[in-house]
Amino acid sequence: MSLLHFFKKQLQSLSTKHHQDSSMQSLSHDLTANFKHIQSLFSYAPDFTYKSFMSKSGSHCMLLFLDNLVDQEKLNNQILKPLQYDINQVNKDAIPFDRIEEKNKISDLENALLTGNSVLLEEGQTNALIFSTQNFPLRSISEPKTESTLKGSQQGFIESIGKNIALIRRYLPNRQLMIKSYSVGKRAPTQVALIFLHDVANPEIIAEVEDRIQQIQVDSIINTGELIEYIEDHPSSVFPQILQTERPDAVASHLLQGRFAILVDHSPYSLVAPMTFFNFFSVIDDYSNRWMTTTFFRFLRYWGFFIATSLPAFYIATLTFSYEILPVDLLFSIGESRIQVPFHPLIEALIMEVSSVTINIASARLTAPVGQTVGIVGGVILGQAAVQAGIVSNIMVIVIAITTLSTFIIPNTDVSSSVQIIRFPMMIIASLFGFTGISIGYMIIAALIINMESFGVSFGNPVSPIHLHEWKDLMIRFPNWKIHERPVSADTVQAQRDGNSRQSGDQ
Amino acid sequence: MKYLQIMFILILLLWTTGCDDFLLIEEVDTIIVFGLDTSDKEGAFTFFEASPVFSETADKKYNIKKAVAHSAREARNILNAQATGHTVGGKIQLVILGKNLLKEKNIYPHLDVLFRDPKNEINARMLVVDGDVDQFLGADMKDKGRIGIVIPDIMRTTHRVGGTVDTLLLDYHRQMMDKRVTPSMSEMTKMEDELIVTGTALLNREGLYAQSINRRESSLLLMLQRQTNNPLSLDFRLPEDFVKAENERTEMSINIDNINYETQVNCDQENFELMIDMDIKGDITQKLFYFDMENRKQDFEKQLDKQLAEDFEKLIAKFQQDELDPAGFGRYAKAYCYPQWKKIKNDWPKDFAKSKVTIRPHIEIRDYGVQY
Repeated sequence: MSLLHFFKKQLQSLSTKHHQDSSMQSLSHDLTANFKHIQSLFSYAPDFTYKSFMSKSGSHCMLLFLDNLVDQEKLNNQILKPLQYDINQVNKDAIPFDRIEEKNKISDLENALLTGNSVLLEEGQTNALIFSTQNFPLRSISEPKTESTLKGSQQGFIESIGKNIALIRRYLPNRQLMIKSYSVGKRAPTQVALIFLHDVANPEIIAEVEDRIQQIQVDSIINTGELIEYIEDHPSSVFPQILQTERPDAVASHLLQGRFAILVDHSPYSLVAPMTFFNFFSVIDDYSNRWMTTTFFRFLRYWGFFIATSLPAFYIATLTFSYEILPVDLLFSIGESRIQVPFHPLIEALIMEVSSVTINIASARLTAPVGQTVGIVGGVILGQAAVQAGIVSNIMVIVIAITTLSTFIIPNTDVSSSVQIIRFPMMIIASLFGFTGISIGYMIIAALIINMESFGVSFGNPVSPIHLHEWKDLMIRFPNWKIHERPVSADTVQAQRDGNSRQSGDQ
Repeated sequence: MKYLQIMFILILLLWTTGCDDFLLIEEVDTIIVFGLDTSDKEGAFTFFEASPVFSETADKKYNIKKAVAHSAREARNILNAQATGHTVGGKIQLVILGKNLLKEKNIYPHLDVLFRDPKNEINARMLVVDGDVDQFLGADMKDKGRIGIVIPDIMRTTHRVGGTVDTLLLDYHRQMMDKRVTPSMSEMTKMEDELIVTGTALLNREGLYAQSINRRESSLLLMLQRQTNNPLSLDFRLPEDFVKAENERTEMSINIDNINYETQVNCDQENFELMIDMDIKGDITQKLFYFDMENRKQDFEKQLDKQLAEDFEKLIAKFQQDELDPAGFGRYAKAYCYPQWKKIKNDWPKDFAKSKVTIRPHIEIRDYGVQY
């Protein structure tokens, strides 16, 4: 522990040193001196560009910016052209540009330049003008890749926090939609936005999140996934407690239910919390499909969770302890197939399971055409060859195939990865204790889920603690007009969601 | 750190227990058929165990072992000495008993081992073999399949069309314990390498073989036991003068698929009196002669009633002759005449032999086809 403290101190001293280096000085009256000073800060920045010119009023001006981070057209038409030909004073109110700030600290100017603003220095002035001329390289809005949908919107978040907020606001043009902005990271500050509905979300939860975000001490946040690790309640749990989504409609829907969302600049994912275990089994499409279809799908998903966690374990337990549960014909066919396999069922299952997970991971990183080939070679040919070579039994191949498919029926990728991990201890415990072991495994999983809390809300909600009226949206999804309350699991201050939309009888 | 230590200890503990009753499905000797027959040795039986062989190099798909021993456990020790793997009894499909053995001994106490271990299968079917069990199991199965599947399949199919009872090991246990019935189980024999269900073997109160009834009588027994879940086929041969047959074809069959029972019990008489009205609904599945069904349907039904009643009468007389009650008439006696029952409960089959049981079938033919 003392070693850790030592490193912490070292780090702190390093960072303070860095801060002392950067200039806290103000601008002087001398334009050349000011320019020299700023240029020295950007000595190893080939994209640092400046334009020296005489304004119409006759004073010497310099416009500084980082090439490619700024919009050249705006720069020319809205700043340079008016200053040189149209207006007589160089001040904030005269220049026809929408966002101008006035700053005199060198460090502020430095930050402004680094984030894509341009800085105008004038001879004899101690204040510089900062123009918001950012124009980052950005991709256009496209379909969400990991959460494709049949009926929902085809817009996904992109790498700009401003655009992402705009996407959410399109769904919720409401005054109560609050966005609190923070800057996280010392070396490369990243903008983090906390979004919630002010009159719905619980202020205590919001205060808690705010506190957690402000406590983060880090160089930089590159991705939302990194932010999760700093703010989640149980970092050592297998289960995700915060939803990562790239769908603005999903975020809007969760905001309406009383949850909050966090956007991180540069990241096309949004965080949504507080989530419960069962929330991860519903997707936004559920509410656009007919409720019976959705109910059926939800049952399949929970069933998929069950299969994906324990089907190989069942196989092992059956073959090593409880052969009696097999129908006699199946016993014969398994026996015939197993007799050629020299390994214990656990080893057999591990061989296939590890290869199957390998194929998953491999094909996830490959481009579509190659990925398909890998899938076919891996799944079909490998399985068939393994059976013929007598490494695994053909029932095992079926078991693994069903297990892998069931893993992907779970809509959330984080949960399905967790399930892939849970499967292995389940297999081991089944090989040691048979069905007793599987039951113990499930009890442990249940205990883990019940024991967890996410932002003060029980993770097992609404099953543990039981909130029966919320079961309307658990396995059976009631028609939307039947669900009047916001989920208890979101711990909202405003519980009512809607009125009676379908009144019976004539009006 | 403490957390890690506890985790480490837990992981070590995990491996200390378990692996105890561990087995590998393809390496154990799974008994599919369990057999019992007489032996030359005094007080001993011949035990048979058939188990599947999974090895590709073996020609035969199952292996039959036999041992002469005084008890099933002793036999297991001898058979284990011949087995390629540990012998387990969790998948027994069939318990075969030799008829000759059943004539001499009540076999129930000797099956104790099958009831004792909870892992053992109690859904095994009970079978009496007319003849030698050794020869029966030695039948040529090349054109049939695995012995442990084929024989129960034959029995199940025959039961479905009403040819025999369907007695599981558990049923046998219950029939032996229940004072209101006497045991009955399927009977098969081997006819030139073909295995055939001959009907039902009836055991008396003491668990000894008493008599056999054929397949048609078995159908009637099932009707009395109220076990006609599937359409039950009954064949009739009508009297020639009734049919007025131009040639000698007088056969016909009906499929019975619904029977309503109405019982009248008379406890006041010296002997127990029972009258069962059966409202039988059926369809004609075969009729080899002409009959004016449109106008004389009721006559036809009456004739069938009469014949069926006679058949029941004969069957019950047959039961009573050997003091057997496989149909469980004792249930009526206990339910309706409990004071009298209390006196005779340990001796019901004897009392049943003196009882008067009348069956009055009322057949209603719903579908007699378009022809004739």
